[in-house]
Amino acid sequence: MPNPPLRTRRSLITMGSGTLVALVTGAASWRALAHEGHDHGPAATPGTPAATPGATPGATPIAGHDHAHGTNPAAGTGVGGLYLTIANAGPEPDALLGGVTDVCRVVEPHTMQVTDDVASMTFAGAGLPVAADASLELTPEGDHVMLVDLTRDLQPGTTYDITLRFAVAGEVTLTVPVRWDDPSAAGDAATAVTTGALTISNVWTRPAPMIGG
Amino acid sequence: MISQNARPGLASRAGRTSRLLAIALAAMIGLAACGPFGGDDYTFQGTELDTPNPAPALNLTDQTGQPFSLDRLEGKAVLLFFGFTNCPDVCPLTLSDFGAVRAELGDRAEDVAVVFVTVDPARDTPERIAEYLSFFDASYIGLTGTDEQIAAAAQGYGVYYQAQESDSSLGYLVDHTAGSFVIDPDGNYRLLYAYGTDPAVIAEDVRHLF
Repeated sequence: MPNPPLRTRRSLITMGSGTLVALVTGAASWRALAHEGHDHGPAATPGTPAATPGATPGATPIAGHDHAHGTNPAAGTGVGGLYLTIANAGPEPDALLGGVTDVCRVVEPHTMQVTDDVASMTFAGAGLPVAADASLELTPEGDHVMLVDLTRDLQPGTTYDITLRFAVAGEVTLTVPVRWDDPSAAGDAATAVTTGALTISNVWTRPAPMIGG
Repeated sequence: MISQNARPGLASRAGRTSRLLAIALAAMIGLAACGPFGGDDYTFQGTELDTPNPAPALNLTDQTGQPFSLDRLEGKAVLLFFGFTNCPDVCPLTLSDFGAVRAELGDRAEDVAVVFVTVDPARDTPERIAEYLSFFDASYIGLTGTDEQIAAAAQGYGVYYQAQESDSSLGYLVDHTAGSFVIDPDGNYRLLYAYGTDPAVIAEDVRHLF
């Protein structure tokens, strides 16, 4: 089994001054605790969180899947995240639309944000935009390319190839290292790849298991 | 262990009497902490809860299909996280960070349990969770349950989660609280950490729970 190493850490997120102490009587409100003293908009009212699954949509089985081991067929076979930096030197905006790889069945652009310590992920149907003369960084703290339905484990120390599709620049094939930490933070990012106006660098994926399948 | 930074919390359910009592107790604790017999004056870096505060129940089903309750982990510190197996960023990072916390703790690691509770019980069966967690560390405990059981467990820790319909091929994605929680070896719910807290920070705090 992989043993995650200690990693050089991105900015440490701290909550309050560390002196916040709340008497919690079995109904702690994480949001209230974590954001005491902050100005909340109407959508982030402190208090009892809506800790209910809500209307969990009935999961629709994905065609073509054949799961063993009694796993839930609607759940897929595991996911991974692809991270990279895209610099657009051209005068025209571009967008990362998707891609193809043999390590998963579907490649999807996703947004991800953590607001009030709640992580929220969405499918970016129109792709992830890269503005003209600007850069887009995809990191574990934010937007990413989601590898849906893995066809094998993404083991640390291995690589895989993926062909990404851009609205303007077209297709580009990258070799992606699987590793626990961000290559640029570790000082060993691979050489950048240029295609048209785009320069793609700091490509990596964190290890992840294929499940079932 | 007495924390010098302890001060009375805002107990919504506490009446006037217990509020006064809490203030009196806090004053006594403050005096004790400052005195010659104050003991450990370590200041926790995570967000600290008043104690004693018995950890809210986690009466769920583990990844082997057996009933679970926190009694099983008596005497251990518990690193607790709520997530789901189709989560590509937050959940794997936190689970690997928990491994880093245990690695930092050296010999203490065996006294520290990791518990993962799914917020996607419709898809995360015990079998699926078992397979998922074994990729990180086979000693991790993974829990699922009925919608009602998961809702009760999450509410106990103030965890928010909400399935969101999506055009993703996954059908739906789940918003969820990304922070993590620590239960001390006496079974008290003690500390909260925001997503992305340095494992070395958590390890240092956990070391002072024993």
